[in-house]
Order: sequence, then C-alpha cells, then structure tokens
Amino acid sequence: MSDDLSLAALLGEAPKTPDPGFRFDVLARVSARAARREAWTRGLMQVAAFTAVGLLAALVQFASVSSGAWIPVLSVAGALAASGVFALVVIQGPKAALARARTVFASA
Amino acid sequence: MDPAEEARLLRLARHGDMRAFGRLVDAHQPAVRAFLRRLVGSYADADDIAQEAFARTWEVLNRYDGRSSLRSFICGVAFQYWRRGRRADNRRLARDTAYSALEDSHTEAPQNTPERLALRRAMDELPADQRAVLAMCLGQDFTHAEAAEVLKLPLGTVKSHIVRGRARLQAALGLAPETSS
Repeated sequence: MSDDLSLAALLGEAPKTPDPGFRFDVLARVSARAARREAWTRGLMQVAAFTAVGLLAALVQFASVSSGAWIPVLSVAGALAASGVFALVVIQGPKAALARARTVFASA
Repeated sequence: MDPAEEARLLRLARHGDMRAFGRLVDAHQPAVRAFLRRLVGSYADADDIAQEAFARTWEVLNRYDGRSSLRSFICGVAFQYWRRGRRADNRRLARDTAYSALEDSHTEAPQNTPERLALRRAMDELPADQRAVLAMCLGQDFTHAEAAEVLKLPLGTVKSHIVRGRARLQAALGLAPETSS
C-alpha cells in the first residue's frame, strides 16, 4: 500500500482504454469555441460598421453639408447594405438556400 | 504512438484536420485524465477540465514548439485551467463533500474508501504545486523533468515536493514514510 503506484491508484486511475465519447466531447467543445469566437468577431465587425456610419453622419453634419445632398448617396448605400445582408442570409443563413442549390447542381 | 506518427498527425491537425486531432486526443487522454483525476479528486470535474484543455490545445497548437512532449504541453494547459478554476472556486463556498467527490469513481473497491478519503483530504491540504507534482509523478506517467517543464518549477523543487508530499500522504494512511526518495 505504501508504494507510489498504490498511492496513485488510490488517488485516481487512468481510463483503461481511450474513450471515444471523451474524444467526441472534445471535438464538440472545439466546434463550440470556434463558433463563439466567430460570433464575437462578427459582432465586433457589426459594431465597427455601425460606428463608422454614425461617425460619417456626424462628419457630414460637421462639414455643413445639407442632408438633402446626401440622400442619393445614402439611398444607394442602404440598398447595397440590404443586398449584402440578403446575400449573406441566403448563402450562410439558417436555410442557406443558395448554398443548398449549388450543392444540388454540383451533384447533378 | 511513435514520434513520427505523432509529428504527422500534429502537422495535419495544425492545418485544421479534426480527425488527426481526434487521434492525438485518443493517444494522450489516458495520461492527461489520470493526472487530473489525481489532482482534482472528482472524476467528472477532472474530465471536464481535460476536455477544456484539449479544446484549448487545438487553438494553440501552433505555439507548441516540440521542445517538450505533446503530452506535457497538454498537461501544462490543463494545469493552468485547474489553477485558474481553483482560484474561482476559492471565492465560492465549498459545497462538495469528500464523499460526493468519490461518487463517480466506479472502480473503487468499497474497502478502500477510508484510505481514499484520507488521501484525498491530505492531497487537498497540500500546496497547489506540490499536489500537481504528486499527481504527475506518483503514477510514473511523467518523469521529474517533464513535471518540472509542465509546472515551470526547478527540478530540485520537483524532487523535494515528491519526497515531502509522499511523506504527507503516507502519514495520512497511518504508514511510516519511506526513508529513501
């Protein structure tokens, strides 16, 4: 009972064989951490983009340019942003219709 | 696992191959889990830390320079996790008893329960570094040099931790400490 191996066995034992369940849990955690990091990056990008838009508006006002002169530019920017969001949703969103269609065409 | 195969899997894993990383997990999980089970006491908590350590290892694989063994590198990550978690635990009230820590150790023979409890209590009273050294080296899974590398301690300190820690554990079992180290 006094030798090191006995002490170690009493304190805790190594699993007899590698446990596939443990491996799956590790890989699930890896994926979850990657998703969390990606969401964090995406959030930062969104905050940065909206901050830039807000700063731009403030600068425009500071430069004493009338808001009427910027309406066409802002309209085009808004349309482009909406198209970008739509494209992202179609390609990477929960349904990912475009990505699925591409897979169907590729396999046909 | 032979070193050439491990190097090959490591290369693949660094390029994002999860299957290769899964094989590395399989190869090193027994040693890492054994280390943490001895360190932590509760098998469930130990496995939880081990999984987090492996997941973190995946993220920092590029930092592994090959000077130590991969197993030591993963244990170093696990040890940092445990130490950080322990600090957080110290801020909370201790709510688990020694009995609940033993609940999930199914391999335990009933007649060993008093010894296990006494050992666990003695282990919990040791300083963190000494406890980690014992968890690594008592089962002869790691050499003294590897433990020194993982725990960032001088080799002489590791050896003295083992001698003193072993004596404390043997005293907890009511045994006279061995005279030789």
